[in-house]
Amino acid sequence: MNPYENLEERAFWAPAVGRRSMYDISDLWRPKYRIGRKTETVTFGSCFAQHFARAMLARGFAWTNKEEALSGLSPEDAAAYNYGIFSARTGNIYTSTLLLQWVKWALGEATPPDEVWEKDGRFYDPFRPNIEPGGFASPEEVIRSREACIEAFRRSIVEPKLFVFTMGLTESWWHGKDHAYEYPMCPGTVAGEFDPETHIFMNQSYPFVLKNLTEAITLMRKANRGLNFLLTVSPVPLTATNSGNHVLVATMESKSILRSVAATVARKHSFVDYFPSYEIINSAPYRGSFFEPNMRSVNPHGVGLVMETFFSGLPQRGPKADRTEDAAAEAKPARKAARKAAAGKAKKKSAADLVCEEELLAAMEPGARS
Amino acid sequence: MRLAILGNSHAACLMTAVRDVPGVTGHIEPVFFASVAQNMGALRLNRDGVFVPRDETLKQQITRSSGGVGKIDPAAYDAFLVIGMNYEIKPTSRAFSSAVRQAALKQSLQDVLHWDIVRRLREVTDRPIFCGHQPLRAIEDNRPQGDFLGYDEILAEIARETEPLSVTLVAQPEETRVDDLYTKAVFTQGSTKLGNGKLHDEGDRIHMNTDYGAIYLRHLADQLAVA
Repeated sequence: MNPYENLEERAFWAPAVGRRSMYDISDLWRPKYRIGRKTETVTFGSCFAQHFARAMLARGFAWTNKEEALSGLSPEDAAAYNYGIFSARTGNIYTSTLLLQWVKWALGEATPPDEVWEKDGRFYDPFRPNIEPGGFASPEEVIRSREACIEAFRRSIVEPKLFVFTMGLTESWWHGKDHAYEYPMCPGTVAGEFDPETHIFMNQSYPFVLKNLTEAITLMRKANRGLNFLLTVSPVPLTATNSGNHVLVATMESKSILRSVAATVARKHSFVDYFPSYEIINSAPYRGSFFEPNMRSVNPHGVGLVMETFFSGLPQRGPKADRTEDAAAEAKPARKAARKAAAGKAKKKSAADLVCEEELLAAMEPGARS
Repeated sequence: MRLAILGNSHAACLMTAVRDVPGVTGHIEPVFFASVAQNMGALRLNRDGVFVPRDETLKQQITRSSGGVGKIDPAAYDAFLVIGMNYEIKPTSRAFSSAVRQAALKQSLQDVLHWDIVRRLREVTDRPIFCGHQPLRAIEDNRPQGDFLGYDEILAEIARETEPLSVTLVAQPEETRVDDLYTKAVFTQGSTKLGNGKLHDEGDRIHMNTDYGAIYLRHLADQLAVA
């Protein structure tokens, strides 16, 4: 008798993966705590977090927007001005240090800098450089809007039950050699002016990411004892790296660090869970089927399968026997679509229309630079 | 001066003021074309440039409110007041950027019946068109708190966006306002419905009474005299 003899099928590669079609791999995630339709949920992080918001809304789950658009704004304009993309208008929060920075501002543990960027007579928020297409009319407008966002982010901490955070990057840009504060994008890319003396690059290490994510979660739990966390790692590769490595190598390094941190934090706390969207898109059994031809953007079928895996992992109502059937039935359409996609039979669809500031770095590619 | 007043339930307080307050309109001869809610959307502009009701209900209502005129021939009037019909002014936080506010305003000019009527009217007449928003909501204790744009700032933004329509915005008379963005609660007391003249429900915060209508009309008469 040894411990492996009593393990479930899902613990063994051959029956759980090797002898299955990739579309029939199942039971990838079992939630640690209850997530129901009424569980008030907020989403933040890298681009991929947006899929959770959309899918939860579409399924009637209680995803909440803490920073509502102005009444009368069309849905298209609301999206263009980044309302309803995340639960507050933070823009992408790529790193655990950026998350901690927002948390500290929201909970009054730190004061946001008054830095504002100017370009062609318009003004930009260094911490949300792409939040207003065309920028703000004045520095005062930038600050007022940022203050409203910080207040909305505070409510995103103290009011919900579930905080979904998609970890995206380890590469980060800071103000000053003392790392006074962090920018979500390298100054000079979306807006602002790059100054090599002031703007400092840091590729965050495993201990650094772990320390800062832990601190962010600790602060948030202190403000809301009932808050659970769902961590995911964005499967989307880096647009560009400043690490000196090849971008493929840099991507694997970054994602590996983020994945390890997520596992460590989730293992340590009963209120932190990890959802394997990264594995569904990136692991070898899926053969890269869910990437667009650029091998970076995730196609809608991949997104669909990720979200089906999420919803089918949630406890269903009714007797246990029915739960498996319900889950299987729910997963079927996405799996069917995924099969079609892999077979090249799916109707051509454009990549999901996400807000990804990091993609703006593509404009810096040799040959693309003006 | 013959003034055609096109509106919805918010025209009721002007109608009762004309009926009950002698001399309130001064030199103005108002003719009301009013129907509740969004009914005025059923007006069709015919080939002669005359607005005719597309359905019998609207025909009956505008015939009744106008004292027997079942259609609106713009050539028969010296000026127009378009009132209410979802043109409203609400407290707007300064946290919304001017670009966001402008986008929302542009959208409302597309979506709101008031501006649709104004646009169609402008197609067939170059006479003065006055635009009046529905009354500001009556003040209440649990009103939102925050840093809001002032009433005059909001009106100025609307004026900028509506400039191509060559209209004159009618401001809500200052003596009816309180806390800049609200109507004094006293003006909701005894407000009556457009259709049947019955009192609005007690909790109604958006329809105003004859006193309000009389003040509004006096201000309008002054504005028309200048125009």
